[in-house]
Amino acid sequence: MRPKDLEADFCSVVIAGIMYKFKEIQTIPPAKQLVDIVPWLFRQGSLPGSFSVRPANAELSHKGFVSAHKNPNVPAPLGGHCKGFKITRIRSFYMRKVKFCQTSYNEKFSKILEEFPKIDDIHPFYADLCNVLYDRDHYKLALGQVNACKKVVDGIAKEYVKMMKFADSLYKCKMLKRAALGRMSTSVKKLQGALSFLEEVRQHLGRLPAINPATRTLILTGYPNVGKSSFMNIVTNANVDVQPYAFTTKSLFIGHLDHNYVKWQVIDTPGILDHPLEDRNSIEMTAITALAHLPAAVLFFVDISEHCGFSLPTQVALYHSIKPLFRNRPLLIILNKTDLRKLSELSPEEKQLLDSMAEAAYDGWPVHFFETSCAKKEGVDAALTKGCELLLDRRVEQKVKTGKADQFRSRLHITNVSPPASRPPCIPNSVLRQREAFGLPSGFLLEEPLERERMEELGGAGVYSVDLWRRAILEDPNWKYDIVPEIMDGHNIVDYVDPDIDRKLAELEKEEALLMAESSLGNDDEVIGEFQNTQKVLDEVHSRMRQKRLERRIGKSRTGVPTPRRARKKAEEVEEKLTSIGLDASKVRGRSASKKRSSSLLGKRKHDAGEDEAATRTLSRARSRSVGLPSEEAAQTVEKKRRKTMRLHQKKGHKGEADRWIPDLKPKHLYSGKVPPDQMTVAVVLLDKGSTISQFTLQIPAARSALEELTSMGFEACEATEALETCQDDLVEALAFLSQRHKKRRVEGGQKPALETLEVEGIKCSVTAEGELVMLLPGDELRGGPVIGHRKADGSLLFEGMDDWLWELYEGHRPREELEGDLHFDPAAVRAALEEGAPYVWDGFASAAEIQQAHAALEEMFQRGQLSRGSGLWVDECNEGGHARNRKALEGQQRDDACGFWDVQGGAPAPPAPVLKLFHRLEVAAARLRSSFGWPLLCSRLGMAAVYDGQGACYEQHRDNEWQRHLRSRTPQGLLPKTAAEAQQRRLELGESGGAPMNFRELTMLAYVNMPEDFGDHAVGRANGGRLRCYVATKRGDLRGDTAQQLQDLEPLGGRAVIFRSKDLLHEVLPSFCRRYCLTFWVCTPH
Amino acid sequence: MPQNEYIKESIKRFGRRFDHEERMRKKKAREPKKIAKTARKLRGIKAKLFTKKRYSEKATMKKTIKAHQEKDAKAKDAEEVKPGAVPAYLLDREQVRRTKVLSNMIKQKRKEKAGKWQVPIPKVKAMTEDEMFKILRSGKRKKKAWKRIVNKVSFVGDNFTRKPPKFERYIRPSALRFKKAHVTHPELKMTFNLEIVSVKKNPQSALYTNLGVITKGTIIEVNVSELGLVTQTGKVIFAKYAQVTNNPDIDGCINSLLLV
Amino acid sequence: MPPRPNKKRRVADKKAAEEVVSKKLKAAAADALAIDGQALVQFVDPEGKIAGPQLDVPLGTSKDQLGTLLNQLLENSEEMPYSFHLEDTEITSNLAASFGKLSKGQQSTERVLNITYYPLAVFRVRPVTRCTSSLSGHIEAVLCVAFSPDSRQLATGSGDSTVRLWDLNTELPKHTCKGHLNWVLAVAWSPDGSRLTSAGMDKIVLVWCAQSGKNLGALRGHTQPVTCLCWQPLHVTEGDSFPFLATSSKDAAVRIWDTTAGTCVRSLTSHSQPVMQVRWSGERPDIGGVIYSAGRDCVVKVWNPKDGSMLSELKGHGHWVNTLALNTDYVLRSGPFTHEPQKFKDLAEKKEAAKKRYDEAIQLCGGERLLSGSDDFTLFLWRPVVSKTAVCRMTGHQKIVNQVAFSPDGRWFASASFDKSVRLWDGRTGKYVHAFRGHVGDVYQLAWSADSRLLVSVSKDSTAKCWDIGQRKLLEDLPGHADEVYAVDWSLDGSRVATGSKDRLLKIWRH
Repeated sequence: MRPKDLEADFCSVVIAGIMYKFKEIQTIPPAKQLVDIVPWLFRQGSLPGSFSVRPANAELSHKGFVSAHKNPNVPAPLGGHCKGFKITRIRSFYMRKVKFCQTSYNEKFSKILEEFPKIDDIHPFYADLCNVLYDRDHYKLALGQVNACKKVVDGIAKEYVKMMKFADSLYKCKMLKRAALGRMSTSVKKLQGALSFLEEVRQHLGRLPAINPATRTLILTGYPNVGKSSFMNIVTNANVDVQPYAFTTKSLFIGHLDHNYVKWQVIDTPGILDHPLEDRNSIEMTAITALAHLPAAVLFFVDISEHCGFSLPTQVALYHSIKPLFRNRPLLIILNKTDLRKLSELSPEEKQLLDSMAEAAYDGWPVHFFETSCAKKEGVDAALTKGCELLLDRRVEQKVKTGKADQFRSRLHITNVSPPASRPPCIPNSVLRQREAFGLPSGFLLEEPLERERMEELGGAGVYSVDLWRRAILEDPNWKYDIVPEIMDGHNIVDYVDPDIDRKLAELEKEEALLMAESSLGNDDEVIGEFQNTQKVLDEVHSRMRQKRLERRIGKSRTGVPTPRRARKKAEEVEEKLTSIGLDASKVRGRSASKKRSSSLLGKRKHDAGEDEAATRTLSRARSRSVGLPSEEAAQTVEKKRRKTMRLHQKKGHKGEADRWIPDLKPKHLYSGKVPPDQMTVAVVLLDKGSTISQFTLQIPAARSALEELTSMGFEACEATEALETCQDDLVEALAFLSQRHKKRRVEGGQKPALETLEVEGIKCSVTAEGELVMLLPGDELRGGPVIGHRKADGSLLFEGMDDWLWELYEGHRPREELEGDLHFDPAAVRAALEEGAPYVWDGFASAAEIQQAHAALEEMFQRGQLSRGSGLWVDECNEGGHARNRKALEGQQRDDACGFWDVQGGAPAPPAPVLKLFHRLEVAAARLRSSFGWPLLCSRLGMAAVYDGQGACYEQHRDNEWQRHLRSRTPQGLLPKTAAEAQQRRLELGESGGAPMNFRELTMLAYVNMPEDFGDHAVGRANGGRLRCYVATKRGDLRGDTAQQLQDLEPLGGRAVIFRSKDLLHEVLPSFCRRYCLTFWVCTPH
Repeated sequence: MPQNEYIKESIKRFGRRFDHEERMRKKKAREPKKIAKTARKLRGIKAKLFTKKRYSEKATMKKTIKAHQEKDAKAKDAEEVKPGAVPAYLLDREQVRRTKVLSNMIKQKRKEKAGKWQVPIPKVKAMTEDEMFKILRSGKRKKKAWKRIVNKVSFVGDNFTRKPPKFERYIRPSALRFKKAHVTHPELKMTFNLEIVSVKKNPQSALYTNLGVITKGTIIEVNVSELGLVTQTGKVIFAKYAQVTNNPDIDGCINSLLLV
Repeated sequence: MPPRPNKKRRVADKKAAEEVVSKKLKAAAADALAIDGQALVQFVDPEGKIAGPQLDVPLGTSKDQLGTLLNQLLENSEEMPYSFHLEDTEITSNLAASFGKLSKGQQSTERVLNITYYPLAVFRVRPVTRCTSSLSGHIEAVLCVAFSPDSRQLATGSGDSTVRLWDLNTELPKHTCKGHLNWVLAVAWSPDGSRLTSAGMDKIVLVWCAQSGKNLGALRGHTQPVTCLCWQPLHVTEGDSFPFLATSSKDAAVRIWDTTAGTCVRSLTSHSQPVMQVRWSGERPDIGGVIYSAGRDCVVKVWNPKDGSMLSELKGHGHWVNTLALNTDYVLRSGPFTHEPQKFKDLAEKKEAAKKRYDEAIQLCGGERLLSGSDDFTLFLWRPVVSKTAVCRMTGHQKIVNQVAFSPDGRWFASASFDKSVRLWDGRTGKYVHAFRGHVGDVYQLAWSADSRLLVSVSKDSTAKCWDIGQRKLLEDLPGHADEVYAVDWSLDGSRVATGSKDRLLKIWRH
């Protein structure tokens, strides 16, 4: 007999033996539900009733009974009757309830207890698996708790039933029942944890692969990512997830395959790392358990290409460490991924390593090596078959050894059959002869290519269409592909096919020839001629008649009854009717109007006038949504509909009608055409080692001087002059020069020259190469400002809107130079101070007299109540929560000053003259800084004045331009660093955390307008406090100044100005006990 | 075959159906309506359970929201001056609420001297005779009615044996005999299940006290040795008094409050 | 005897005292004759230094005779009071009595008896007996009370989030300092008496001008209620700078402030739980003193205020540490001022004086000791500068220890506990000496009189009690408060005791 058969029915026997019903376990309700379920059950009235339950139940639970006692404390009347019910009956009723509750709990619990597998009983493989997955102690504990709770519930029931025997009134019974149920449910509620755990276990168990520990099994093992799973996918149809990273397989997977007519299960295990057993994680442990308990053939995978990330030695080491698990199991070592690296390419020592594996094999069980490549599907089958055979032999051998085999042998009957006679194929003689003709060997068969092969060579499946007529046998092979309709004019052609039609045709021709011969006349032109004439005449006649008929039909009076004059509508009526139903009435009017027009000149005038106002009316209507709509509600309904349709757009961020988008960024008609004559066009091409960097054209008014031109183009005065004198006042040269520099700067700052201007909502902006809508800043066209929108996928532009900060920047202008008097101010010093993050103290910023005037002015305003909270001019920043983008920052800042804003550029509200003067001085200072260092500084339009009332008002630590983690940087891509180094640098200065400064303020300039006797470094002054405390060089995000490297206290002396970086400097205004004025002025910068 | 995390797997492979998100959203949006509907429909116990559930859910929701708000809000506005200022060394210490220090303590002392207790339940409703005892008729023709059954919970000490039926006037059914009581310590605010040592006083009648019947307001002596209470001199207190606060024969258990 | 401004009275009193002494001497001499027997005695000072030669004195020699003897030996210009210990029993009446108390082994007239003498304060503070004024004004419980170092002013902090300054000559309110937003938990006078700081639940520390009561600034930085304030000792401040302030807070940080600039100089953070106590010792002037802090995380930490590093950790307590005390607390607190009124030109001079006093105190009590009391019912006595291990661990209290205080001369310390007792311990060895019972409620706070002869304790039972250390008994019971007494302080010149209570009253007690 063949071992396989023996194998087959043996297994069938065994499998019947062990079957785990992990899937059959019923769901376990969480304790809370369980508590509800049970009482609910017997509300269903499903009380167990050996004796008449339902009637009793019905009666009892009907109202009259239950509210039998008004005063429950009065016991039942003697003899225990109440309302005609024997107390015994009442007792039994309530006892039943308690008992029922207990039993139903009991059932539930015992069900759980029996359904869950007892770890000690199940197959050791599963036992260990459970242990690995759920921690057997935890598992047992949970079950134990359930069991305990079951007992408790029983106990309670028993106790209360006992007590009920002595209850002498309905009320007592009822309360006892109530207590009993209550206590049961509390004890059940305590099971919460255990039950939920068991539920999880149940779900997990249900999903475990149905591994049969007894049947023929191949186990794939090895390091992670060596191609076990892909092997699995090839040999079985369990499609396991294969990923190019380690530990893709996190648990055992099982697949089945048929190998010589019996079922095999292949178990894919998660990868194992080579470290001691105790510190293996649970994933690896599953693999180990499988190896340990399943009597199977082991396929140990080795990735000789070492693409799995583990070197060959380590893999071999693993092999040696887990070798004990392979003891007397057939073992195959699969050298995988040979497509990446051949075995031949291995270095000798590596080869030696592999050999060491071979030697290491256990006695009598040689190790078999196989080179496979799952990618190319090479050598997989060989490995598989080998593995199967080994295992089979082993099993059979075992069975024979154990004597299990005999029982089958006895059942088998072996007949001996004579070997079948040899029956060679018979080849007809014709064929043989043919062959001789061709001179082919006798064995050879002429075969023509199969249809399949044809298909392959003619472009494969899909392309190739089977040619049905190929083998058709016709007289003329060209006829093969003639199209022969079957049916023609509703006649089946086959009916009309006449085999000897040719013959008939021949006869006919002969006959005709004879006729022609005997009839003498040669041609019949004149006959045809006169026929044509008559035909022509006839045609004319017919056309005439048709004409007449038509005319007659038209001439006839109109059909139907004529409308009487009165019934006719006036044009106006018709008009308003139409308009009322919301149709365009102009058409109707049109004709009549045109008729009218001819009436009189006056009328015409009137009409024109009317038309004009009509025109204006339509215009105005066109704005409103209810155009051409009869009534308001109609308008509303329409509006509703519109909203509804828009909702989707808005949700998905689609482009809706409302979105502003510019279909064509550069409409030809705008960009082509002549340049106005008073400008000269300069085309600038910047070359860098021969390759074009950038080119752009400039329109330069002929009149303006080169310097002006350059400065207006956003170059700094200093740069411009320098450039001009380097290239002898040649504008183009200078431009090239500057742009070169800009190019350099682009390498640093990465800027684009010349962006095309376009205007969105009156804001000059432009689109960068990265498809960002950047704001263009006054006189700064060369640099893109902050991002205020972006181009969408569909090429349209989305404008994100402006917030106050953006406005501040946008309204900003280049600081102006002009100044009356000089200002004692040293830009270099400022720069130095700012570099080290310290404030620059600018004493003697204004003369005492000026300060006095300014102070007087402010004082006066204050007296008039204009400088206090609530006056129209003044904004209470902290209370109104500040601007959209810095709300978070301002919230909770403790500041008691009243602050308000003036337009210092001559807008309203304008500050009093002396104050304005101070502001201007600050501006000039900014200008100096800008021109001397080329900082892209812009002065904001608003200047602030802060008043600290003398009642100890203060302003806790803050920065004017706080770094906000939740903000997105508005710097355009173009300006972001290109190289990694720069990125690193930038990260250094920005800090790892994301975010952006909350506004664009670069410098804060303070000017104190206080009288010298108020503040100062003397007793009074110190008492009055109000000093500005600067925490120099604090870390970002530190709002308490703990990280400050040094502290600097500045007295708010009149005529002192302070300049510091808004981003960096953390400062605080200490409580002031004397009124304190401070002018604040911000200088912004785009980035 | 489906095995292990096959659901996740399939989602990973083939993704969800195209409108999954949308449907989820809708479902979520529909949820409140559904709940409202059920709330309207349900009656009786189900309704009760349901509302209870809802209530707790809402409560938690409110709490979380509150917590978030607190997280967002700065501490400044959170502060308001609370009454009952205590010095730094008494912060976070469990304070026993007393209005007047002295008077109270003195009163307490006097009471103790007088052997009276200031108890949680000063007076209880009196019981009628027939509520106290059930008459058990005896004799061949059941015409004698001198036996009484105590159908209240009672405590009999260990090694208690019933008298011979002839002399047993009061029968305390074994079903109603209790050995343990739930005792709540008012200051620890914890409850222990302690052995009853004896019944000190039953407010109903002296007879009850003798019989060891436990009703509401009864003062029992419980074994507090495992609480490990100590006297000022450091001795371990063995037994303490406690007053019963519930109707044991109705609740089927004895709840009591420790007298300290 | 309490200081009086006019000199005449003082002279008179002195005379009277001398008379009393001479009378006593005569009497003693009389009964000395009664007892016969001689003994070799050797006077030893607390540090074990030998004073004078061995003397052969009659056993009958009385305490006062020993006093005179010693004074002659030490060539004191004027009579100094001393208390004598034979071995470890105090000599109350005469040598014989305490000789009798000795164990048999030691009871031989052959061997030399070491008599340890402890110098006592030259002035006496008279026990407080009566309530001179109960000052209302606070509208919430009075939580903390502090006399100014020069004993001219009194500051109280209350639950109504105000600090009040009281004038002691008139015993009338002087200033009301508003500015806190929540309970005021602690007030502390700068050792030069020019500034007052207060802190509380509102996390900010406010600095007040002692004279005008004006706010000099707010120290913001703590994120949790501030629990304790402690000034840097005058003599360790470098240069002419004003002493710094150390604050402990429930945010588990100790912060050091420069009150003039109003800046946080350092933030010492390695506590894991709220810090409840902070002390600034006068040792190691090179690093500007040492800071001890303790709190709910059961360890006492020693800090270096200069660079903010932690010098060491004193572990031992098993539960919250409630209180810390230094045996130099009194001298550190009072700075330059003694029990007599003085005038100083400027800060430098004050520093001078403070330095002098501190050095005296140190050599009197021999090195600085730290004492910590805890929720685990025990006390620990440390010498942090010497070693990290405790000198000794003192048990005996049956409830938590709420406050401990060294006597001004550092000879004793007392501990107030919630077990209704006040216990007296030896200031050097930490030996248990006596338990003062009498309070019927938790004992909250303690205060020593300037001459270390008297002790006042306040309790939950709404009374304050004045104890005599000499004969270990209750001297005065001071009822009068209607509710728990939260705070007590004994003015540094010993003339007044102030108690603040939950009944919103501030009471001042005098002799």
